[in-house]
Amino acid sequence: MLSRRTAVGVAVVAPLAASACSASEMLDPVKAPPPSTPPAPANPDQSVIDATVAEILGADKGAPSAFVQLHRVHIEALAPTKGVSAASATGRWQERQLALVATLTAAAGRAADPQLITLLASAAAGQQQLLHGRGLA
Amino acid sequence: MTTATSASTEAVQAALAVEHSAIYVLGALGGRTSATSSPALARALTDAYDDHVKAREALAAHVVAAGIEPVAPSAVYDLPGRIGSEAGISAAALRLEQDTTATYLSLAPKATGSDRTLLIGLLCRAAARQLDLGAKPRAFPGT
Repeated sequence: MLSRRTAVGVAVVAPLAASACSASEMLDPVKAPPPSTPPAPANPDQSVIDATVAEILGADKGAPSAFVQLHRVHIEALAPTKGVSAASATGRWQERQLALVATLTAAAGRAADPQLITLLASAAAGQQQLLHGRGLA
Repeated sequence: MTTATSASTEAVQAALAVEHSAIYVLGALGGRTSATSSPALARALTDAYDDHVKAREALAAHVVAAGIEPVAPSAVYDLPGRIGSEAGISAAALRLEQDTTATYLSLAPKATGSDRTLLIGLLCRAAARQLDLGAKPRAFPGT
């Protein structure tokens, strides 16, 4: 047998529950995307990452090991798509290392994700430090 | 003016405020450094001071171009402690550049377009100046 207090509580809750049920019945069911819709990319900045890594790899040719080692760290942090190949390399290695600062800065300018922007900007600063330490910038 | 543009300009204004402070502090550090007994440090401080003045001018010009009044410097800033010796002054100057680098790195994602490019350029210069004050190169300065 219900106590008076419980009976009042049930009486109050019951209309609310009924109301919630009727509201859910009125909602449109979630529509599945048409089969022709392509899947959303995992990372919208992936093309920026891959293009930047290709430029970094292209700049490595003939460069001292300190630059190559720095670039390995940068590439690992950027997490490019597997199989990214080096962009064509032209000019002296010093010029390519200098150009890489601009490449990383431009990539940071194109990126949308704040974390990627931070990563690319810091990588540009790391590249600049190494150039400065060797009297190249 | 859009919200994104406002945030971008605010980031440049924040960087300008940092440069005002850096110029004040470096001026004080340079004033306590003898060019005769500590020529390398005096030169590094002079170069850093000149570089920060150029950065301040570049940032102010950017703000003016956006149609906004550049943030003004404060009348006075706190000086770092323990600057009574060459080693203390050198350490304080290095901390200043490290802080400047970290600040630029935190502001860069908030800016857009040419504002972001400018901030990253100044970030790179701040990172390079650290080496003149005894720092070792790092893969990710400012982090």
